[in-house]
Amino acid sequence: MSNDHHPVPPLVEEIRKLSKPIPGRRELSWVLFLVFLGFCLLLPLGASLYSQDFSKTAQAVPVVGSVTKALVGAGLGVEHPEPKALAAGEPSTHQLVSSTNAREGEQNRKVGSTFMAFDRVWNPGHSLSNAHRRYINDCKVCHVKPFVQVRDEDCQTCHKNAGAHVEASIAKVASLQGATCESCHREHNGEDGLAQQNKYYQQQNCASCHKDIKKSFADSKDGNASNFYSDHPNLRYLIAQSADAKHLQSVRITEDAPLIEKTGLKFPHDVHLKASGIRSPDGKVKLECVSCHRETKDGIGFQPVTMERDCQSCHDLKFDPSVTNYEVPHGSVEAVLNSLRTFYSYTMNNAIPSNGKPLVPMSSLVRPGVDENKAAVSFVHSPGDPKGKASAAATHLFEKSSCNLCHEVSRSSEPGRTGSPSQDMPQWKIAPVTAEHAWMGKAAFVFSHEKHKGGECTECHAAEKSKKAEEVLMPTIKICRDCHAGSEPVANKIVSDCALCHGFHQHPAPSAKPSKDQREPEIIKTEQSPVHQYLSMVPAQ
Amino acid sequence: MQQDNVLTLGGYRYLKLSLLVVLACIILYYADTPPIRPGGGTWLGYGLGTLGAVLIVWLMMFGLRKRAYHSNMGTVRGWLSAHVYLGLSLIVIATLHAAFHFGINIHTLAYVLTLLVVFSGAWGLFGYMNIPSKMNGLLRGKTLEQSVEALTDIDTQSQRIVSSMPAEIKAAIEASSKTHFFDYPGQRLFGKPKNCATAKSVALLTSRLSVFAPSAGASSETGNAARKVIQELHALQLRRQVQLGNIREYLCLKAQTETWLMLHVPLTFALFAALGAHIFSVFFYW
Repeated sequence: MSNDHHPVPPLVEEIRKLSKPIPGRRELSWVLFLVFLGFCLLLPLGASLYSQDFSKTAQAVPVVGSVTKALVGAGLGVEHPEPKALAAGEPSTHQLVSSTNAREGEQNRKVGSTFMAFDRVWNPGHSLSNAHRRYINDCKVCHVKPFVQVRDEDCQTCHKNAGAHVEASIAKVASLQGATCESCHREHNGEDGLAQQNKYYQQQNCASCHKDIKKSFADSKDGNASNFYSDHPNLRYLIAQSADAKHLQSVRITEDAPLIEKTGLKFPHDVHLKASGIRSPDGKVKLECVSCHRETKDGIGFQPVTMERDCQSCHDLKFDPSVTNYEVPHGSVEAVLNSLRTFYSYTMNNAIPSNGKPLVPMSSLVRPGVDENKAAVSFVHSPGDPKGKASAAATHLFEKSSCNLCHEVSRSSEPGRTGSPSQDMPQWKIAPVTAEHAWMGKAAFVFSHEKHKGGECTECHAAEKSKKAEEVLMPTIKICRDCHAGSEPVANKIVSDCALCHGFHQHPAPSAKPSKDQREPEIIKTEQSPVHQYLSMVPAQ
Repeated sequence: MQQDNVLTLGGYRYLKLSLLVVLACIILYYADTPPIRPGGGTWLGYGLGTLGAVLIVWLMMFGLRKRAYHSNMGTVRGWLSAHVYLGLSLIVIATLHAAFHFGINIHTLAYVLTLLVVFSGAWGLFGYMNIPSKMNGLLRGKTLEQSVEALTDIDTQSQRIVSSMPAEIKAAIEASSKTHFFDYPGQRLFGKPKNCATAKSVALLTSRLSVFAPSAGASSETGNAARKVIQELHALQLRRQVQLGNIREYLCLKAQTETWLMLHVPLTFALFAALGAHIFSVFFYW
């Protein structure tokens, strides 16, 4: 042992130093603590607070100047804040229409990035959904108020038109209280859209109210539903209450009989779909559904059936056996009468127009289903004045040979329109044809015929047995259940939870088919009038 | 009866507690069916996160407890045992809280730091279970200073003998007595000095001994006397070399019981910062 009086030997001194704990642990702890605190907390927080305070974000985004009203994602009603800088290669769809926005030039918050995007390191694991990824460098687009969960109004800054689940008048249902956007739509859960993720919430949550809907909401007109396969009411379809289809009523189908909608048409599907085929100018043909019902490009629905394209090759509008290359237009009564009147006046003062073909035997002009013995005579060869000939031809056309075959035709006592060539002729009325409309208002969101192509049309639509046009050939739930089970698995069936067919939000329904008044009116244009058409085919004499 | 060590304390009391906690977490995790996917944002995720954060803070408090010599709040050994087992349980708790999903962000950073702290702790524990017994044998029950005094005794004896020896040997013995344990303090972490003067003097004396070996034929009185002196000196230096080696080995092992703390403690404070940022950011951008 060394005493304090003696100098400490060097070795003892060295060993004393070496016996002390390794220095620097405390200092290193401080350094690491401060470095990590700086990079993980202080820098991102500073970036977040720098230059933009939270309250401004909440107010400014709604009045973004360059905003589109393009309904992105099946009518979700999204208006996007204009990103300051899009990622390279990212399409900016809304820029294309941004200039049309009336609020162009209004105050515009710079959405795009917090200071150097430092707060990006706070972004939790799973990526943002595709639609929101453009905001990855600006957390505050959604996280408007610090330490407060994303509020509905924050979502609705952009998602203005996202409809509520029920109408405002019945939204006071207790079970819907406290539900927020965020209850179902959880962001930072990967690339799936939030609507897709939402489906995870549907089955049990839907059934919690809809299993006994009257208990949840006494005034509900819905049936109980907890499982598509075992506990779900039959389907409802929209039935037009007026010919213009502006008044539609939702009517529940039964398994016993098809729904009926007045159409103003006579059309037996069963006759046209006869397995043995039907007569046509080209001989016997077997019609398929697709012969007349042609899919839209999106594969969701069908183009409207038109006379010219789908019917007229068999049901031509020839009116005189002697004239094989001339038809009246498929248009208004007046257009038809004008055409006839003009034609017979022309033949009175001119040589009988002929394209050089011989007169066609009567039998080939007889329309399908018409007794050949009662076939028409040739009016052009009959004696009489043009008005008489035209009236006789019109009577035959409207009441016997053509119009009345498909339409409900009646005589009209009202005179023709003054000034029209046919004003002195007898008049007829055609019952209005009900405008086309969607059978299910929101089906276009979820139902695709394309995806159901595996089966025959008639597996769902019993057209081959339908005798009347009024029969709505939409399937009952029993037919859906041939393939679709509910949320619980059933052998050989597809598990289908509520969200497979039902959306949660009540968006304005997209028009699955254009209504009739949106289509081109079927009128004959003057530069291509029937007479001109006809005369152009007559060799110059 | 052998005394409990840190691991077996109280009949594995804290091992059982930790296993119970871990098992409960695993059962809850697999029983829970959150709508989209498990994660830190579900109710169970919040629960596991809270448990993990509370545990981390409590585990850090061991540093305070072991310094609080007057505290009656359990024994330090008991705290250490709980510290070890509950610290290990954090691997499972943190992983389930993250729901096996990781990214490049501060959340995963906090997770990685947690694991690093736990693993450095496990490394330290392994050292504490093995190193002290090795250290005890090296000094043969003496303290470090006593062992060093033995070295200086050897040096004193060597100096006395070497006075009549040639200058070359004198210089070697002088250098040997001035040998440092390590060239620099940090060397004890990585190895031992390569050019040890004591080892050199032993080598020199060994070569001299062979000159005076009986087989060399130089069997005279003077020769015998010189040989005896060198033998004595050689024995002293050999003892010094062994003693020095043992002390160095001891210091190396002792350093090893501390190096893991150089990671364990600073990383804990890094974790503390990252954890704070993790919790803050989650609720700041809720």
